[in-house]
Amino acid sequence: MANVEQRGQKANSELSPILDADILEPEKEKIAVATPRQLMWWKFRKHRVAVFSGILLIIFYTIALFADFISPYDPNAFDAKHKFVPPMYVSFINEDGNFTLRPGVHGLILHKNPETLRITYEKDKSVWYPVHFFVRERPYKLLGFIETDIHLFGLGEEAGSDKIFVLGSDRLGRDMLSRIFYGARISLSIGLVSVFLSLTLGIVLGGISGYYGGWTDNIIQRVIEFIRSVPGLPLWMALSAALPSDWSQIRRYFGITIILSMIGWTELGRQVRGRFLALRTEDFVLSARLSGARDLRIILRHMVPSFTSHIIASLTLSVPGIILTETGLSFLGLGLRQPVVSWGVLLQEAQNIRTVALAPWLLLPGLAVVLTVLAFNFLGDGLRDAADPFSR
Amino acid sequence: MFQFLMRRSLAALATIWVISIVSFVIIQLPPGDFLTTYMANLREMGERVPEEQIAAMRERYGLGEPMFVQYYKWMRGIIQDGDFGRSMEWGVPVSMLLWDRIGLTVMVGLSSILFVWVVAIPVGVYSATHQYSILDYLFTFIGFLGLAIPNFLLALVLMWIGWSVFGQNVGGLYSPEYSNAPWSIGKFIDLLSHLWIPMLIVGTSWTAGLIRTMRANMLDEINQPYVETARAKGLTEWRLVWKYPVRVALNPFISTVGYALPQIVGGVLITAVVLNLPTIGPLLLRALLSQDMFMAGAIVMILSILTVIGTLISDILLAVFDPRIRLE
Amino acid sequence: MSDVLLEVNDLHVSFFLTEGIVRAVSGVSFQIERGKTLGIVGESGCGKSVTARAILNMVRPPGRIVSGEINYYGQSDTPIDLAKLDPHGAEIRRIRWGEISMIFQEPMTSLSPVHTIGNQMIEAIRLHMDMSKQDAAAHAVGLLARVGLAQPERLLTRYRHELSGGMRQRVMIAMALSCNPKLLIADEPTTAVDVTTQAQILNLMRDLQQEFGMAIIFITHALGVIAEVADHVVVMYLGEEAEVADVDTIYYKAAHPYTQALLRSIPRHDIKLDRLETIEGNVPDPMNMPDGCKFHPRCRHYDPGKCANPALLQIGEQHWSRCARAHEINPQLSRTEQPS
Repeated sequence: MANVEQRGQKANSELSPILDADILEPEKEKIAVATPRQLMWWKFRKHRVAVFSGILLIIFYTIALFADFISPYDPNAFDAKHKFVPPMYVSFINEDGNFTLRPGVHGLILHKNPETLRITYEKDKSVWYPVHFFVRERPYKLLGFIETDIHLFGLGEEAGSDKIFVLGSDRLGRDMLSRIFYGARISLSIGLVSVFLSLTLGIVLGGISGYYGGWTDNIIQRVIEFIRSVPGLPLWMALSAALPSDWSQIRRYFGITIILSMIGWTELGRQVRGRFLALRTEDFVLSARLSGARDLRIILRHMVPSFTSHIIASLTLSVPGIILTETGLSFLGLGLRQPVVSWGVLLQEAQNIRTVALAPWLLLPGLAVVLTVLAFNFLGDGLRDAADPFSR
Repeated sequence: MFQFLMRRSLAALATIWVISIVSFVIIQLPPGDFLTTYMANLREMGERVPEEQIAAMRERYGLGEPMFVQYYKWMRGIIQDGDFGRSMEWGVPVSMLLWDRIGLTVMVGLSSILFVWVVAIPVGVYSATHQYSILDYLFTFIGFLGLAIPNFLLALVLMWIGWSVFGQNVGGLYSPEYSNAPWSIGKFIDLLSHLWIPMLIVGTSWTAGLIRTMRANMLDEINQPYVETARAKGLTEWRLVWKYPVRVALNPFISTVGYALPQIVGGVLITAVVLNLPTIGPLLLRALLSQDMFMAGAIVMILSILTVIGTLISDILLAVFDPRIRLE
Repeated sequence: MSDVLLEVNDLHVSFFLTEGIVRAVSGVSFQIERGKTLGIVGESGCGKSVTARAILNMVRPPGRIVSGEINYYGQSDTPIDLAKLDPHGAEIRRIRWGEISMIFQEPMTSLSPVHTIGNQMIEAIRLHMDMSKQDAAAHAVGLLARVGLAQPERLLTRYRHELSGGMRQRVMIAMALSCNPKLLIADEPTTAVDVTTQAQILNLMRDLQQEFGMAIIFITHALGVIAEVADHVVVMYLGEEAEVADVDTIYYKAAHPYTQALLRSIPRHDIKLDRLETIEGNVPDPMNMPDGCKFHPRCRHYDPGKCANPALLQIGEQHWSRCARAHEINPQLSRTEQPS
C-alpha cells in the first residue's frame, strides 16, 4: 500500500495539478481491486524481522529435510577415540600459513591426565586435512526414495580415522553437528504435526461450539476452561510416562505428538469460537442460510475462508509452545528416547552440570531451540499484524 | 459480590472434582494393580509381608472391586485422613513425603509471581509510555528472548556460569550445613539467599510474556479520552499515568496471572529438577520414571488444586479491583 | 483589560509519522472574546480537535506545535503564549482546568471506568482550589445539582457505567465548571448523545454561560448546532480556515463553496427538498493533500485559471474567505466591501 502512495506522491510532484487528478484515478482503482491476501502480503513485507524469521525457518526446515545429505556423519555412530572433542576451528589458512579457498582443519593430539583421567585435546599443527565436498560415503535414500551416497562435505578417505567436528562431539564421540541436523527433523516436525492436530481439534470443537451455541457450546467451553486452569506440565508428564515402554519409536513419536496437541487446541478452539460467534450474525452468513445452504457448506465455504489468515497467525504462534514442551519432556526423559534424536533428547546429555562445565557445546541444541522459537514468535507476530490489513 | 464469590467457588469445586477423577485415572494407567507391584518389590528385597496386612490394604483401597468403588475409597481416604495412598518406591504413605516439599514449592512459585509483578508492571508501563524508544525496543527484544528460552536451559546456563566462573554449585535451596537443621532464623535467611535463583529463572520467561501483555494493555488505554480528561485537568504526567491507565490496564493483567499460574507451576517443576531443589518437582519426575503411581497421582492432584485455588484468588482480587466485574 | 481572552496566531501543528508528515493544522488564526462563544466547524480530520488540544498544549507525540502563538489574556493585558510553555510544566498545568477546561465528544469514555464520579471531581477541584476534601465534595454536589442531576450526593459514589449517556455528559460539564474556568472548550459535546438530550445539553450550556460568564469554544461538525450557540464561526477545511465570520454572516452571506455546501446539507423546515444535498467526494488523504486550493477536487466552482493558491481574503468588515472567487459565487457581497 505504501508503494502505491509513494508512486502517487511522485506523480503529484512531477505533474501539473490538473493532469495529476487524471493520473491518480487508475492508481486508486488499483488499490480497490487488491485482494485481502495481497494487502496482507504488502503489510507483512514491511515487517522486516518477520520476513527474516520466515527465511530463517525455511532454511531450518530445508536442513531438516536434507539432514542426511548435509550431515557429515551418522548421528548415532560411536567413536571411542573422539569423546568430548571441542568444536573445531575451520580455517582458510592451510598448514603452510597460506590462504586457501579450500577450508580445512588440523589434526588432534589426545592428552590424558594420569591422575584425573580427564581427556584434553591439542591442535596438531603438523597435520592438515582439507575439507572435501560431495564426498561418497554411507549410502542413504535422499528424501526417502533417491538412493545415493553423496554427502555435502567430509574429510574424505585420506583422513583415516580422524574426523571433523564443527560443533564438537559428545561423551560417546558422536558428531554434534550431525545430531543437531537430525534432531531438527524430529523437533521441527513434531511442532507442525501437533499444530495440525490441534488445529483439527480446535476448528471442529471451536466451530461446533461457536456455530451451534447453546448447551454444546457450554460443555465445550467448560472443557476448555478446565484444561486451561490446571497446570499442563505435570499432566503431560504423567501421560507421557504412562505410554507403554515397549512401544516402537514411531508409535511413541505419535503418542507424544497427540499428547502435545492437547496443549494447543484450547487456545485455537477459543479463537475459532470467537470468530464463529462474530460471523454468525453477519449478513453474508444469514443470506447463505436463507438460500438453503447446508451447515457444513456454510462453515467451509463462507465462514472458514474469512478468518484463515487469523488462524494461520495463531497457528504460527502456537508452534513454539509445542516445541518447548517437547524439548522439556524429552529433557526430563519422559518424551522421546534414545536412539531417536531430537533437540530435547540431545539436551538430556547436558543434565549433569559437571558434564556441561567440561563440554559446554552440549548446550548448542538449546541454541537451536531458542532460535527456532524466536523465529516462530516473530513470524507469528508479523502475520498477526498483517492479518488485519486495515488496522494501523 | 457475595453471589460472584459463591459462583466462582462452586466452579472451582467442580474443577477440583474433575481433577480428582483425572488424577485417579493417572494412577490406574499402568497395567496391573499397585499392590501386586508393591509386593513384588518387597519380595525382591527379601521382606515378607503378613497376609493380614495385604488383606487390610486390599480392603482399604478397594482393589479388585469396580473402578468407582476404588475411586470412592481413595477419595474417602484423602478427605477423612489425608491419606493419598502409599508410595511403592518409598514404602510409606505419600502424604508423609509431600507436605514439606509442597510448602517450598508454593514458596518458590509465589516468590516468582512476586518477581514477575515487580518487574513486569513498571517495565510494561515504561514501554507503553515511551513507545518505539530504544529501551522499548530493548525490552521487547528481551521479552521475546525470555519467551524463547526454556526454563531448564536458563537454569543449566546459570548453573554452568556459577560453576565455571564462581566455582560453586548454585543448585539446591539450602547450604549444606542447614539442609538437615531444624528451622531457625539462620536457615530462613539461608533459604532466601538461595531462593532468588529459581525465582529469577521461573520469573524470566513469564516476566517477558507479561511485559508484553502489560504494554499492550497500556497502549489500549493510554489514548482513551479519560486519560485526556485527566491530562486536561492539569495532573502531572506521572500521576495521571499511574492513577488512570495503569489502574485500568492492571485488570486484564490480573486475569492473565490466573492463566499464567498453571505455566508458572510447570516452570517451577522443571527448574526444580535441574537445580535439584527439595520441592515437589524432582519427586514427581522420580515417581513417574519408576511408575510410583499413587505418588504421581497425588502430586498431579495437589499441584492442580493449588493452581485452581490460586486462580480463584486472582479472580476475587480482580473483582475487588474492578467495579465493572463486581456488578455483573 | 481588553475584551480578547484568547488569540491564536498562525498556528501550525504537524504529526511526524514514519509514513510522512501530516500537517493537521497549517496556519490558523482566530480570537475569542470574554464571555462569547466561538464555533469551529468542519468535517472529521479537518484539524478542529487538534486545534483544541493545542490550546491546552496537549498535542501528543508524534504530533507537535510547529509554530504560531496562542496568546492567553488570563489575569492581565500581558498575554501568556500557551504554545511556548513546557507541556509538562507547572504553568500550563495550573491553566489546564483552572483557567481553561475541556469536555470531550465521548462522555462514556471521558470518565474513568474504575474511579467513582466523586473521586474524579474532587481530584480536579482540589488540584486547583484550596479546599478540604469535605468542602470539595460539597462543591461537587452543588455543581451536580446545578447541571440538573438528581440525588447528587449519591452520584459521587457511582461509576460511569451506572449512568446514562446524557447524565455522563452533564457530569463532564459539572466537572469542567468546577474550578470556574474563563474558557470552556467543548469538543463535539453533543455528537454522541441522542437528539432530545442534545437540545437539553445545548440549553444547559447556554444557561451556564450566562451564570458563570465563561467563554466557550464549541467544536462541531454540524453547522446547525452552531447556529444555536455561537457568536462567531470558524469553518475549517484540511487544517486551514475556509471562512471566518459572525454567525449571521455565515448563514446568510456564506462566501466559500465549502460553507455553502455545508449549509445545503442541513435539513431546513422552510424549504422543501426531495433529498438533502451531500458534499461530493471524500476528505482527501492527509498524506497526499491536493495542490493549490485544497478544496478544488470537490468544488463545483473550480476554475484552474483563477484558483491557483487562494489566500484568506477579507471580504467584509468581520468576514474572511479562502476562496479566490468569493465575490463571484456570492453576488450578495457588495462590491464596495472589496478591499482596493
